Amino acid sequence: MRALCWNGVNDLRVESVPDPSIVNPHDAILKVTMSTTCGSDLHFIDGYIPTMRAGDIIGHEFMGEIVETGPEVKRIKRGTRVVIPSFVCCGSCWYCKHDLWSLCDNTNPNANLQEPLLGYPTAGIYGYTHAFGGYAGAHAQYVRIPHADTDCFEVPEGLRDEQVIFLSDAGPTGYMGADFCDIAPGDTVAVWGCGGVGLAAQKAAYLMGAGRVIGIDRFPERLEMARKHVGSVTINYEGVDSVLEVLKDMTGGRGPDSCIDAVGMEAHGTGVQYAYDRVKQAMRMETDRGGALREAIMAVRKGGTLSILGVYGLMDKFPIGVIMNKGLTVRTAQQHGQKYMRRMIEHAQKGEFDLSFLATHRFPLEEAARGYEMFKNKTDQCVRSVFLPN
Amino acid sequence: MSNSFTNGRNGRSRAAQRSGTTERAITIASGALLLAPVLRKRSIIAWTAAAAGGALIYDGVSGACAVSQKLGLSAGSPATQRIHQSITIGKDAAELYALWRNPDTMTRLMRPWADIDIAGQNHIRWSVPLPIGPAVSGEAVMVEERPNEMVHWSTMPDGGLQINEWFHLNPAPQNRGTEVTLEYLVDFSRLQGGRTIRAISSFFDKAPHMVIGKVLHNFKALAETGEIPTLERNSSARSQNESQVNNRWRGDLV
Repeated sequence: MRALCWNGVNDLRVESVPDPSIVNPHDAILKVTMSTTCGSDLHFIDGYIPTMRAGDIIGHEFMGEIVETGPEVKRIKRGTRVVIPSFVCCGSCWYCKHDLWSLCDNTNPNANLQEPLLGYPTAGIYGYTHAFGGYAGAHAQYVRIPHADTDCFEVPEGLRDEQVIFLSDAGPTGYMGADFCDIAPGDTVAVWGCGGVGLAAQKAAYLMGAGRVIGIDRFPERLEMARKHVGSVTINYEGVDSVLEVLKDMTGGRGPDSCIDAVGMEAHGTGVQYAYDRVKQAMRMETDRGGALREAIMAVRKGGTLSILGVYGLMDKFPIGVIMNKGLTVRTAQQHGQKYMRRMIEHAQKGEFDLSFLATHRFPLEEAARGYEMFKNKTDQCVRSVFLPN
Repeated sequence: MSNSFTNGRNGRSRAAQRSGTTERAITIASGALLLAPVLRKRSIIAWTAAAAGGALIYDGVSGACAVSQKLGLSAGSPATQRIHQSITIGKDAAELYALWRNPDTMTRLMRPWADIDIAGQNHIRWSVPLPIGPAVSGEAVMVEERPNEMVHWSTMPDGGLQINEWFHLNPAPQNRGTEVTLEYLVDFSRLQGGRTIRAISSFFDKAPHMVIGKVLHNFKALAETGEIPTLERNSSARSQNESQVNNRWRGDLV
């Protein structure tokens, strides 16, 4: 089959690779009908996240049709059209049973590699470094799905692929981020980042009762998307002296009730702080440029909630004193997609959580490297590239 | 998972020692082994290893023990190494005990590192292929078992490396199942140059921890899901032969 492979920093190529096959009894094989780029992929493409190996198939946000099942797969049948959360989860361990799916104990074949980094290993992810399992990714014609009965969610009739594809990762990540905020009716929620995850978080915040959602970014087309498709108020941080002061002005000096960071380790910004982060990261003296997160910590009201969705490594200059003295609640996780999937599908069916507007550019798989290039550089106002592998 | 490491240094002599001929030869060889990576890859880790290697070669050639003593290589140092790790599994002790005692389980769990031949209900033959040279092999017997509580295996007392393995089961709180502990005591004293080998082995103590950790994680997955997570036949643009050779020895490390 053909698949998009990582061959080194900023070196992606579509190559011929062996077809996947059933290995374990709960496996299924999926024929991928659509997959999409994710901002978190850029971290290892740019070389900031280690444990990639030349030849790895990447991609973790996808959907398709089941074409083969293992002997212990009972619920999902061949021919079923499904969407799959990006984390591989067993459904049997303590974490899965407590809806903490991305912390699954039993799906990371390289748990021993990740444990020294995190203390305890997490679940595996498709196509996202060997520390996170080393599983072959989904920018391919076919992909092996372990624990298929747990991780495959049937797509109802009437929903197009573009309406469903983002429920694999961007949707549940944003939805979870809003859920973390325990939004009370009328709350103000500020979201750093108007990419796929940030826009999903903004949409979910309104669904959960927010009175006002504020989207923060620097790209006019993304801010326009936040206004047009979500109904958010927006701030272009390059057009103001201080995001903190603008947020204070917008909230009568209180600050947002909750702040969501949907940016992560490659944040852009302005001023000395940004230059400092940029130099340290370029010299490999730290893994993260944490400007957006630090700003969110400062901006959230006293006693408010900070919800962190951005992907980070081992960040220094983390203002824990601000968190402590303001009495903030910090909630964060990789996405627990299996927890939210059925709810999101219901919202999608009602037209309340339609993220299809994110799919700004479509490519055949053979042009996937170009799709990533456009996604990374925001060429032609690209928000998400989607691939059609078959 | 918790883990700890005990290198058994109680009563260790601090007196200066002069090494014997065999110890010196092994010390020099160990030093050369540590020095080698810098010739291929000039990284910080390689240079650090090379510095340690150079010091060991100095010890071996001169017969002095300054570095050897620091590493626990001198004659007064113990020649045993104890390693244990625990994991909590959401099953009761009886179920886990039965699974552990199933001969197929041991074969599956050890497959990444060792070939296990079941010689009898309480008797196995094991063989560990090495990247170079002949495989290391031996036999082990079960010396004690308390159903649903503990199993103790030991290698045959044939004058070589002596390994004892204990598998312990204890109830976990809050209905979380069972706390499983795997403990190994490795005795190098009957080997020529045993203290040097023990010290070198403790220098690389992450490796046995990773092996034991992987055995426990895989046992947990097998008990809770009926299968072991695997990258077998994982699609990639690497050649399949290259993947298999590497996976055996580095657990799919980068």
